[in-house]
This record gives sequence, structure tokens and C-alpha cells, in this order.
Amino acid sequence: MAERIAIEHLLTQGRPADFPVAFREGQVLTFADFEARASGWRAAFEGHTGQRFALYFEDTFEFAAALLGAWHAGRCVYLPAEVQPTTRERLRLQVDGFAGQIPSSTKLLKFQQGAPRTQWAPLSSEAQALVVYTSGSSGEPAAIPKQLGQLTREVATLADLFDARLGSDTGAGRVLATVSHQHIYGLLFRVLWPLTSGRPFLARSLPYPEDIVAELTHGPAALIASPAHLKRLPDTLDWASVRGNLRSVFSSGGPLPGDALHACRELLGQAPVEVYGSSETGGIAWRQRARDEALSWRTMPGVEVRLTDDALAVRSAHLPDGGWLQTEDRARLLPEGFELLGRMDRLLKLEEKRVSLSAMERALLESDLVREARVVPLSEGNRLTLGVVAVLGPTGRYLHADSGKHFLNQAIRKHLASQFEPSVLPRRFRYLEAMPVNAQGKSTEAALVALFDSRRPPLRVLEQTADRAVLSIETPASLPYFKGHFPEKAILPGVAQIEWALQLGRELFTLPPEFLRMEAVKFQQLIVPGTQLTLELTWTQAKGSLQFKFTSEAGTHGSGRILLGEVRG
Amino acid sequence: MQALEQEIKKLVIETLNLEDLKPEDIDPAAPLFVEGLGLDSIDALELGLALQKAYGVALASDSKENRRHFASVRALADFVSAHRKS
Repeated sequence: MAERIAIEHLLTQGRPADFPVAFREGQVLTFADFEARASGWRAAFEGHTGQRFALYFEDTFEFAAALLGAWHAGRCVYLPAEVQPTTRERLRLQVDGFAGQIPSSTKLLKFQQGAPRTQWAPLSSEAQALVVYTSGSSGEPAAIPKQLGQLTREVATLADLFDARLGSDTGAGRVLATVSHQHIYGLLFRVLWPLTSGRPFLARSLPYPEDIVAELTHGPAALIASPAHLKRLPDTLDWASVRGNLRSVFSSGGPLPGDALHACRELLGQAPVEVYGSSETGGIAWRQRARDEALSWRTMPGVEVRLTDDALAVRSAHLPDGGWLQTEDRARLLPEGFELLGRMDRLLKLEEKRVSLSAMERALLESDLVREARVVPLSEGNRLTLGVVAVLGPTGRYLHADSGKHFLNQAIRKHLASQFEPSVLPRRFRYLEAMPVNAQGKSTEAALVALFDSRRPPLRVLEQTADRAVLSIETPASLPYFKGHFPEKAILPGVAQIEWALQLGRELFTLPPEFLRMEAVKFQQLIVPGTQLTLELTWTQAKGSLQFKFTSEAGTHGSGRILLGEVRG
Repeated sequence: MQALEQEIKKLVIETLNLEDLKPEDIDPAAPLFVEGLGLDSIDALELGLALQKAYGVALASDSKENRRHFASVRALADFVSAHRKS
């Protein structure tokens, strides 16, 4: 096994020049390569004024080098989970510069080619090293600052607990990941732990199960995954011939459903090591449900837990101080650890009335009108109201088809009226085929609230595969795009069609961040209010091309291609 | 009067963001509150402000009187046509 080196001392102590740090497209990236890139990034950060920098990279090796470069330049790294326009706007107010693939960014750092060789000094564990964000599933993403020592102490715990599972042969067990390093889980498990324990990692993520199978044919590896991926393992792939190389699977970011656990046992031949934690607390506990479905969580070494009002509170060296941090998870303590009992109620005050959104969600699920439901607060003018985003159940589907949306809305309100006061009943409704989920498999509040944006047309997804989708879109006269365009005759602007194609494309496929250009864009026929449109989207990953076509009974209205890509950092 | 009823239906829908309703879905004689459209007292406040803006009508401080005006779209139309300044 390679020597364990804490991140503080990684570059001062060093590893052999030819030591494999990562793999990229079959190429070995050595410790000498890593040091050279970190050195160039350090020069880049030192050459730019300011203390706070946002990093966003597709490539994990380059990210790791930039991260160490920033830290050795004494900078604090902000780690956004994505770089959509609203996130970039928010970041612009918080940071002094950006590094990596950040679209249309000013203050973007350039890697310093041929920077002189750096004299490294050990990093301070007290350095304000990192700001991460909560996933935002229950509100706006909140910023969480971390000292370097919080991270490295947690990595040491992970190494103590899990190093042996990856095998003892130096350099053999590679670390593969489906999750991004832009989140605390990925940062710890696929970057900092491998760097510390001397495990080479794959520079790119493996979003598709086919890629995981292909990588496993190259030799032993561990897989850093999330429930979003593990519950979508196709049984048509030849897992049996490659799973002998799978030393360990890790799952974090949310609860692993029973179905996914069974699929892992059957297809991967093992139960994943589930890690329970959060951006605020870091890792809290872990378990591996090899046989017992209801196996309790085992608290990680150095972590203390207790209950406060039925909810779990945590104290550990991964937290900024010696205090207790309250989680929002209800739990029951057991001699060997604890059992999780679900989330605490989300409480909200609506016009002076207190309402539990969780209780309303539970009440919705008791009817067979809906199968999945989320309740979100919406601010409309000077009033806060509730909106429901739901996947319909059999009765709901029937009512929707037979009597219309308003009738179904009223049926849902009536169902809730037995438990809730009339003034807090939900007033707006969105019925979907599936809940919108992000790369971590979570339905964020921002994504749910976006469904109520008046610029978003009423729509239904009719067909969807990995690279093609067909949607039915309505264009009611109330869409703001029709206002004043034009005063004498309302028509949908071409730019709105492009915006819809891009926005919906981003929801349905994983698209690169940067809008490069458009090709073959044509607007053949006008779209007037009340047109029933069909939108066909085709994503060709190899060309970075998102093709769109708006049609109706009258024929084609608009079509074209949007070219998307990465910006090289 | 029918034109005014139609206008008020649109105003109700726009002011209260009743996005899944069209003017023709609202029965002008049906109660606006609780059992009918299910509006509440805060909706009444919002609607009062909107009527004031659109027609210059001021609501009385007498709540019983107001309840009568807000009974239905038709009652609102009667009230507006009797008191409007524009």
C-alpha cells in the first residue's frame, strides 16, 4: 500500500515522480505531472488579486491540481455544484475570480504555462480552505465554510475505515466515480482520499453504466456512486464478467432505496458501503447492508451523536468547532449506532398561520390522487402561497383526463381541507411524469419553484430516451412573451423558442455548460397564442449538438441546432 | 353589464393568479369565497385593491356590506357599475 500523506504535506513530502496519480484516456498522469500543474495553477492564483475563487472543472485531475495550487497560494476555494446563470450571478458577488470551465466569465484565471518550479511549504490546517453549498433540497443553497483540517481529519477517518477494502496492492485499485467532485462527497471520496492514500483516480466521471462496465474491464477499482446512479443499473449489461474487479462500491448523497440495494447485490455482487452525512456535518455514519435490510447506521470513529427533540445532533472533528450541530433527520439511538426515521417537519408561516409542508406532503400521499408530491412555497406579489408538484396516481390521472386540471386541483384542495385551514391550501399545481432531479438525484427547491415561472409554458413529456425527447407544449395567451410582441398581433418570438429548447434540453439531458453557437436556425411559420406545439429535441453528444424542431398541425414552425461545449481552463 | 362581468372575471383570474381557470369557467352567480372558487379573506383584500386601481371604487369599512359585494362576480359588477368613477 502506498504511504498515507495528509493533504497539508502532500506536495512538501511528495511521492516518486512516476507515481500514478490519475488516468485520463488511457494515459497515466504521474505525480510529476500533478506537481507541475499545481505549480502553474499556484502561479495563476498568486498573479490575481483577491482571496476567494470559484473553481468549476469537468476534469478531476485538473481540478485537483488547481485546488492544491489555490491552497498553496493561500486562497479560499468556492465549490459550486453547477454553473447555471443564477449560480454564476450569485457567485459573482461572493468571489474575486473564477477558474475552470465557467461560461462567459470575466475574471477567469489562466493557467500559467512554464511557471518557475515552486518551493512548497506545508499547508496550515487552520486555513480557511473551502466553501461548499448545501444541495438546496429544502431552500436556497446555503454556503458552508470549511477549514482545511476539517477536511483532512475526515479523510484520515475514511482512510482508517475503508482503505483496506480497496486492496493492498500499490497503485492497482483505481478510484472510479459517477458523482462530481464539485460536491463535498465527491471531493472527499474521489479526490482528497485518493490523493492521501495514494490511489490513482480516473480524471473523468462515468455518468453512464456502460462506461463503468468498460472501465472495470481494465482492472481492479472502487466505485464512488450515488443512489441516483445505483437505482438505474441496467440488467442488460454484462456485469458478471467485470464485477470481480469491483473492490468496493460507495453510495452517498441520499438514502439508497431497497430496489437499488437489491440491484447492487444482484448485478454488482455486493452491497454498497452507504455513507450518511451532509455538507455541514461531513460524514456521520456508515453501513453495508450485505444481508440485513434494516441494518442500523454505525457512527464513524471520532463522531458523537445524541438526540435533541427526536432529531439527531452531531459533534465531531469534521465540524468547525467543538459544538453540537443539529441535523433535520429524526432518529432513534441504538447501542451500536442509530436508526434514521425520516426528515423533520418543514415548517412555514403563511399569513401568520404555521403550516408543516412535510405534513401536507404526507397528507397528499394518503390519497390515491398522487403518487409523489412536493409542496413548495411560492412568493406571488406580496403574498406567500403554496404550490404542489406531483406525479399523479391512478385516480388523479383519471380525474385529470376526464374533468380537467382545475377539477383535479379542487379535488386535491378538498382532500387537504380536512387537515388544513382553507387559507394555507395550495393554490398552484404542476403535474409531471417524473420529479425533476439533479445529478445528485435530488429534487431541489429551485428546480421545483422554476416549474411555476410564468415564462415556462404548460408542457408534457411524451417520450424520452438518453438522446431524444418529444414534448407537447401549449402557448396560452397569458405567456409574458406575447406581451407587446407585437401590440397589433401576438406572435411567439424566435428567441423564446430557442430559450425553451435550451432550457428543456438542460432538464432532459446532461448538456455542457457553454452556449457556443447556433446553426441552421429557421422560423418557418408564426406561432400565435393557443397553438398546440410538439417539440422534438435530439442531443448528439459526439457533436455537442442539440437539435430542436417545433411543429403543430400546421407543419413546422421553427427548427435548428444549438452547439454546446466545454471551455478549457 | 355582461361585458363588465367578463372584465371582472379576467381581473379576478389575473389578480389572484388562478392560472388553471378561464373566464368562462366562472359562474357569475356562484359564490367567490369558500365553497365556490375557494377564495379567502386575503384574496378579498387583494381583489379590493385591484378593483380600486381599475375602477376607482373604494370599499366601505362596513364588513357586512363588503361581504355582500364580494358574494359573486355578478354582485361585484353591480357594485362597480354603481360606484365607478371612470
